This record gives sequence, C-alpha cells and structure tokens, in this order.
Amino acid sequence: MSDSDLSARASDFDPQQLILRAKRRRNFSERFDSFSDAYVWVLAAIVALAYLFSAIFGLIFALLGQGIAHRQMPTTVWSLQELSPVLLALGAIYLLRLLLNLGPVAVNAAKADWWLPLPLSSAALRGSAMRNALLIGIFASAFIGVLWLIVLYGLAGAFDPLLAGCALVCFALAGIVLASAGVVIQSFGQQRRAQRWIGRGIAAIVAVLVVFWALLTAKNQWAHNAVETMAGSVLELPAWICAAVILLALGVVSVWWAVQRNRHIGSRSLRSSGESQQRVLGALMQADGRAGTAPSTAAIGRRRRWGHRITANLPVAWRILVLRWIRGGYWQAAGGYLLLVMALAATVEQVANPLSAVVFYLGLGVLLTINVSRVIAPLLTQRQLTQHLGQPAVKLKRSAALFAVIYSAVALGLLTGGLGLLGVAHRGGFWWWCAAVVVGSLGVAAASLGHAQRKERDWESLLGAATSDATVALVLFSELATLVRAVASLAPLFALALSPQMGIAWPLWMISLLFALPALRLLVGEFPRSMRR
Amino acid sequence: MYPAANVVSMQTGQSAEYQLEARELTIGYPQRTICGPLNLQLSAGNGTGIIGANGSGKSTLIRTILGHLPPVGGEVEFLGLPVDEDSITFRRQVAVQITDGTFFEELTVAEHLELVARGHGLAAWEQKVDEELDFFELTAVAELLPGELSSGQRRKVLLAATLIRPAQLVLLDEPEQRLDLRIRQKLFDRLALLRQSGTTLLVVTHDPQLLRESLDSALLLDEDQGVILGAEAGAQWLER
Repeated sequence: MSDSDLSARASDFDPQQLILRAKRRRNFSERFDSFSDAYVWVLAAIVALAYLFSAIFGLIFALLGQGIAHRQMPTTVWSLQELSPVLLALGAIYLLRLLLNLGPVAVNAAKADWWLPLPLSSAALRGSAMRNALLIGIFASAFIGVLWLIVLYGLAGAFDPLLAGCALVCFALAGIVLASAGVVIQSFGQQRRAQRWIGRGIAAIVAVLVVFWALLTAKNQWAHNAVETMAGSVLELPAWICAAVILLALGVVSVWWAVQRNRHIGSRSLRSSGESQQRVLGALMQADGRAGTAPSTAAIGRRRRWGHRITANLPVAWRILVLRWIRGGYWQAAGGYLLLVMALAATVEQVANPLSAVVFYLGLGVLLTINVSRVIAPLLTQRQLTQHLGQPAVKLKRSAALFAVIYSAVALGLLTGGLGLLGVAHRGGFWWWCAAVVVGSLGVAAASLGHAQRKERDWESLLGAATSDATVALVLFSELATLVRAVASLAPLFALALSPQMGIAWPLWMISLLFALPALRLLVGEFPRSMRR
Repeated sequence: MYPAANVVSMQTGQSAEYQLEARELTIGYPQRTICGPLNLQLSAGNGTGIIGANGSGKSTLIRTILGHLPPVGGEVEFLGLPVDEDSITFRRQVAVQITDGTFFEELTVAEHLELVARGHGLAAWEQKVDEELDFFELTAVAELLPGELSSGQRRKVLLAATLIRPAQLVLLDEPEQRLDLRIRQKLFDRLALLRQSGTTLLVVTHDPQLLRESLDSALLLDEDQGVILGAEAGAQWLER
C-alpha cells in the first residue's frame, strides 16, 4: 500500500466526527442537554453570584469601618476607589500568567495519545484547542470583571447599568486579546521569558504605586490630579466606550495573528500544555490557591538548595515539614497576606480601624488553617511514614502540631505587632495580647490538624458522589466547621481589637480554649494518672 | 493466526544508511541528565531491547527518540532526517505504545481501534479491527468502555492499537507487563514475525524471554552509559 493511497483515505477521516457520534450515542452530554439541568446550573450561578456580592459588600463595609472611628495617619493618602484601576492592571497580568501556565493551546491526554499521533492534518485539533483557549480567556476575564464591578459598585455606591454592560464587553474583549497573546507567545516557545517579564511587570506596578504614594505623602499636586483623574475615569461611560473600541481593534489583530501562529505550535507543546491544564484543574478541584502560579524551574532549584542548607541538622519529621513549607512555596501565602494587610492599613483611608483588624485576623485564621494543613498532611495521613522513619505515629503528630502552633503564632504575632505599630491595635495590655495570640495559634493548629486528617479534598468527586442535598450540606458543613473552629479560637483577639479597655470576658477564653484543646493535648501528651487524681 | 504484517514504503527521498540513528545522545531534563552520551544505529528489521535498572532512563530514551522530550545533547535521526513529531511522514511510519492507559472515556474498545485504523487510512479497517480484537482476545469486550476494563485488558487495547497500523519502526515500553502467559507468547511470536518482515523494533523490557525470542540485540543502560549486547547476553543480564 503506497503512502499516497493511505493519506488519501486517511484525509477523508475526521476523528472528531467519530468522537462526537459516540458521545451522542452514549448520551454523555445529557446533563447539559436537558433544559431542567441547564436551569439548575443557571440558578446555581446566580445564587453563587449573590453570595459573592454579599461577601464582597461585607468585606468593603468592614474594611472601611462604616460608623467606627478610624485612625488617621500621615501615610494614608488614597482611597480604595482610587486604587481600583490598579486591580485592573494586576488582574490582566495575572490572567496572562495563568493562560501561559495553561498553554493556553493544549490537547488533553486522550487526544494526545490517540489523535495527535495520527498522520492527519492537525488543523481541526489545533482549531478546537485554540477555541478553548479563547473561551478560557473570555470567561476568566469576564469573571474577574464581574468581581471588579461588584467592588466598584460597593465603593461608589451606584453607577449606570449601561456602564457596567460596556465594562463587561471590555473585559470579554480583553480576555480575547490576552488569550491570543498567550497563543502567540506559546507558538514562539517563549512562555518562560514572558513569565519573567510578567514578574517584572508586577514589580513595576508596585514600584509605580510606591512612587505615587511618596509623591502624595509629599502633597504633590500633579500626582494628586493624576490619581483623581484615573479614579474618576472608571465611572465615565465615554472612557469605557473608548477602551472597548481600542480592545476590539486589538482583538481583531491579535486573533488574526494567533490563528496564523497556531499552526506553528508543536505537538510537544500541545501535549505538555495539556498536562499543565490537568495539574491546574486538579489543584483547583482541591481548592489549592497555587494553581495558577507554578514556580519557575530556577525558583524550584533555589528552594531545593536553600531548603537542604536550612534543614540539614533538623530531626527528620521537622525536616519533612520545613522542606515542604519552603519547596511548596507555602510561606508565600501568609507572607503576601501580611504585606497586603499592612500596606492597606498604612496607606488607604479609613482602613486603619478596629473592624478591619477583626477582618484581617479572620482572613489570616482561615488562610493559616488551610495553608498549614497542606504542609502537615503527610505526617498525619501517610501511615507508612511511621515505618519508613522508624517513629511512632504520635511523635509525628506531635511534631506536626508543634510546627502548626509555631507557624501560626509567628504569623498572628506579626499581624498583631504590625497593627500595634500602626496604632490600629491598642498597645496596652501586652500580656493579654500574647495570651490571645498563643490561644489563637493553638486553635488554628487544632483546626489544621482536623482539616489535614480528612486528607486531600477533590471537590468535584466529593460533591459529585453526594447522593442528596443533605449529603452535600453535610460535606460543606464539616469543611465549614473546621474553619469556624479556627476562627472561634481567635475570639480573644477580636475582643481586644474591638474593645481593648473592656478586657476579655471569661466565656470567650473558655470557648477558644475548648477549640484549642486538641492541639494542646497533642503537645503535652496525656496527663499522667497521678496528676489526674 | 496472525494479522498480516503491516509495512509501509519509505518515501522520504533520503538514502539513509540506518533507519534510526542516535549520535552522542544525552537524555534527561534541563536540571538533571539521566544518561548519555549514547550511540545507536538500527537498520530495517533490527530488533533491540532497551534494558537496565529502574530509573536508568529507558522510558526517557524512548520519549526522546519520539521527540516528546528534547535531547539534552546530541541528535536523533529517523530515515536520515532529524526526528520531528510534527511531520506526517514520521507519524505514519513510527508506531508507539508508551503510555499506560489514557483513553477516550466515551469510545468503546472497538471504536478506539477504529480511530487508529481509519486515521492511518487502512482499507477494510473493519476486518483489521476484528483481527486485532481476535488476536488479543478482546472480542468479548469490544463494545465495552475503557472504564469497564481490567488493567490487563486496557494494556491489550493499547498494544492492539499500536500493532493494527502499518509502521517502519515500532517502539514499545514494557509490552509484556500485565499480560497473561498465552497472550505474552503470542505477542512475542508476532513481534518476531514483524521483525522478519522488515519492521524495526525498539522495546523497553525486563523480560529475558522477549529478548531471546523476538529481538536480536540489547542496549544496556548502566551507570549512565549505553552498551550494546547480543540478545542472549542481554537476557542473561536480566536474569542475573
């Protein structure tokens, strides 16, 4: 059989038709075919949006401490609304970063193994992969846009619905431009270089913010006018129409270029991007916030070397914990959160108030619980480690608990110290603050231990396997209960932040100690019988 | 007993001395070299087993030869041209089974084979599919979805998909794994027959019987080096 005979016969064959026919026959897409299911999905999206709306409004209300006296500092030079345009730039940069992590043009594992090796033109495969990339860009950008519009609505109080519609169109067009840019970068194989430039872009935005902050602190009129103009323009319809026209032109050009370049993306890149998408999807399913920001190879190498040096003389369980903490980049979440909180409290009007301090503690409590539980999970769940390390399970658990307590205490201590230095937290009653931090750390550690022992969560399979609404509610409640436990143990800190002069009522100590008890018991071990008597 | 051997004619316009040639090939990842430099020349009808301890780089070598991984150093040529996975000619002439069980969840066993057979433009593809199903004793599960198969049956589907299509070079990664003894023997006989008909085989294996019965040489990856041995010497290394 000659090559030309084979290719003529093969060229008539479209694998997509075979796959679609099989899908239709087996009714794999029945979930989305049925009107009632579509109705449920739409309803669920609206309910989720309503919850999101309430949560963001609540957050803004607390950050601005409506009705509560706030501390005025010479460093507070701008309002949250004036900072909102910066969120747009950061949103665009992070979206491009996510798209580059995803490929964005990719084929899934089945297509990579069965379709990609066929001696057929890959135009159909690449075409559908590029359509997916554009759709990811549009939906992700529109989602970021909706969040941003809710924030703006909360800050401005009201704005024209036409403006919101026009802004949404702009976000969708921006998604197309960013996804097309991602395709072009991928076709040149320059994702790593682009990621480096994105890192520089973020640094540049921070630098511009610092410069403007310095100028505003020095009462520079030009900077003042520039910030006001920028903040005002986001509420003007002509500005959005102008942006839409520019983005439309950019969109047309970038999509045309991306279509031209799409055929130059190699099979290797399509395959490895598919693997990346699978990893990111898995991380998202387990609610791992690191999904979109995979570290560079150089960063991994640096962390490995650094980790080895630091942990060389530590006991083995501690070595595992500290290495995971460093290599997994778990320190970044808490570090970034503390920096953001301090920057907000120090520079944004009205944020330096007791209510926002409570929000900051609450956010840190939730973040630490999830973050710490991921670091300590192997010591608590992988039973074979006791054999490999030659240590009893209780000893490994104790190391994990001690790590969780120390990590939480340091983070809570830094937040308390920072807020104290800024004058947001009352500086009197030092020992009460210390006691509250210690109890809070024990509570967060106890919640982390509980969270980690329920092992890795795959939300899709968990919720998909739930047979009734009651089961779904039970799953969500058990997750929520862990976080409530962590937050409840911070009650003394909330009390000190809100009313430092009143002292802490003993029921609050009792509640927080109750939630902290599991970690405390692990640390001190069972009390000897003689002491119990 | 066996489906007819599939051989496609070479249409590269090259007068290559070897069908597959690796020169000073170093394999691995940017941060870590696994093995090399290696030199390997395979002519049409050669059958070489890749042997070595776990982690010595056997599967990485296959992936590098296929172009799934870039070489750390050196080069690989197929029919005198650099390996290029994006070339239709390369995809038509190289058959490979390296992955372990990724399937379309909505396609049956028979439809997976249909996809490969029709994708390669086989005339009478229905008959070819039936022959492969029969050879690998998959007829009874032909209409089942991959999720309903055992791991051994999934492995047989992957092998059937690799062998149903015509190829000049066949790359297999531990094909003997999870197969029962009868199918294993049938597979070894078929590989020997393929080689006799001029197809080149490159097979990662831990099975001395496969090396003795189906292949004529072995590439031993040991201590970061590649050493060419005879099939018997390779089999003895595996048995040591």
